[in-house]
Amino acid sequence: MRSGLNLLHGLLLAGVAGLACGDELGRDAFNGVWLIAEDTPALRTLDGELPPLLPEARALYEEHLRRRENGDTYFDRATWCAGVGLPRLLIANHPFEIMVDKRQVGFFFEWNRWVRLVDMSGEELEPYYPMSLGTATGAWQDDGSLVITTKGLMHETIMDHAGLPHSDELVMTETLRLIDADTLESHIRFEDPLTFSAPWETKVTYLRQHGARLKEDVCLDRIKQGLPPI
Amino acid sequence: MTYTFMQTNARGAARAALACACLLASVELAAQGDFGMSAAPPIPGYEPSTDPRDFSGLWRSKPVPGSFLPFVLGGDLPFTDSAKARVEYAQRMAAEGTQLATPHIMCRPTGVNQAIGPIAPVYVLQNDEKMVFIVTDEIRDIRQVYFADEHPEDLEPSYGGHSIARWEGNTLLVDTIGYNGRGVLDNAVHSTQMHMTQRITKSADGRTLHIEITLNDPVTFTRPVTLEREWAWVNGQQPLEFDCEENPREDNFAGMVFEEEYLRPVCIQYEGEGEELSRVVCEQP
Repeated sequence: MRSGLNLLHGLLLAGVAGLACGDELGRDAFNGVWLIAEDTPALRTLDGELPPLLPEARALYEEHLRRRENGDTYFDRATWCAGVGLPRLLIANHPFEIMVDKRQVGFFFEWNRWVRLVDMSGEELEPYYPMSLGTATGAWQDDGSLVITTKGLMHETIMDHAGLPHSDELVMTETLRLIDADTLESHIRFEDPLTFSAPWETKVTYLRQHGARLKEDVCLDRIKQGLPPI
Repeated sequence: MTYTFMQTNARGAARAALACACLLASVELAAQGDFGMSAAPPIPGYEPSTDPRDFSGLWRSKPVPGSFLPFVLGGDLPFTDSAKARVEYAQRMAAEGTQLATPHIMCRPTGVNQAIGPIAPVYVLQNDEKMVFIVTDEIRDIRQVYFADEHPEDLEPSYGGHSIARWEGNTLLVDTIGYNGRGVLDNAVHSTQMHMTQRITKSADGRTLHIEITLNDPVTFTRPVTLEREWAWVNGQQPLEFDCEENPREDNFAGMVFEEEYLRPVCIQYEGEGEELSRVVCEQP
């Protein structure tokens, strides 16, 4: 009987812990400044493999790797402070802030003051034209996670610092979930039939930056000081 | 508005044409008594809140009587001698067809100008900690306004300054200091001593923000300047994107006068032929 009670107690605790990971923390718990937990210069699949690039895209990727190794970064528009787009801003070593509002969820990226507004109206939005941050729609799930679908991501950006290419057809689906009050996990699924032979996923973890506030970052002023653009 | 045309490739050209058309449309709308971009696709279902302390949503500046664009303040302001000389110099250069490199044109944050008169829609996000005013189109600007009684002591000067706010009844009092002196104000710059205050009140139907702005900058003005603006509620619109740094085309800088070294471009996009098309070259300082 005792063991049965213990089991029941354990299940209850597990249930509470489960709630605390998602529902109980609530949507406002997403608010705050976050920073990627691990340096991620190159995206990899959940198995740690190179994403399944189609031959032409793979050749372009390898060219990017070669050029960066030789100090030629002109394939990377960060060189002149142009928008680096998504998902790169989400894996950069620069903090970003999430702000949950009734109509939108804002992502404020410190890097060069970029802002991403995720529409939460429930409407299907077709991209007006491709942009570096694309057109994003989001929906809260019953388990407390936030699912964001982004389309219309312009191909002129690269997906990571290494130079992973993509086409305008890229569709990025993020599932953001609070593991605890200070840890945010994002499963990201990429579909781009012009670049990848199959959809693939990666996982990114962010840590809450207590007390942090984003600075006014001006990339052009930074490179004037001889600092790296990103 | 040079930045509007910093586009080169085919898609860029389409964007530039759109931006140009929108700018012209804005000018036309301004003449008709309406500002703002109209190209962004609508998002149905958004209604303004009648909560007087809920500013969240999308707004755009209403036309200002006697002013071509809402951030143009005019030449009859109580400028100090030094500021007046600066404004007149800028006007003279413009009349001669010479473009002065300003922080605004050279892709820096616009600070006071953007707060006074955004020509693109402004998204407002709000929670218990702060209110954020966001412009993504025509220019990119984010203004974070924290609900607090005092500015931090260790304020780092910035283009946009540091803003705090508190409620006086249902009027939001916003106080901004901490400018780095590089921000743009109409035809001139302002000093680090700029102190901007705003009193923002929402109409009972939730469709208008009444904004009283006071600019106090003893280096620029001989007395405080007070302006009144109104922002109208806009139904949902897809946020579009403005990337000033995207195409630093050589011809944008041709003939431009750079009085400040920090404004001189590091990277320039040269137009070539064949594979050399749109070649960007950077010179590290």
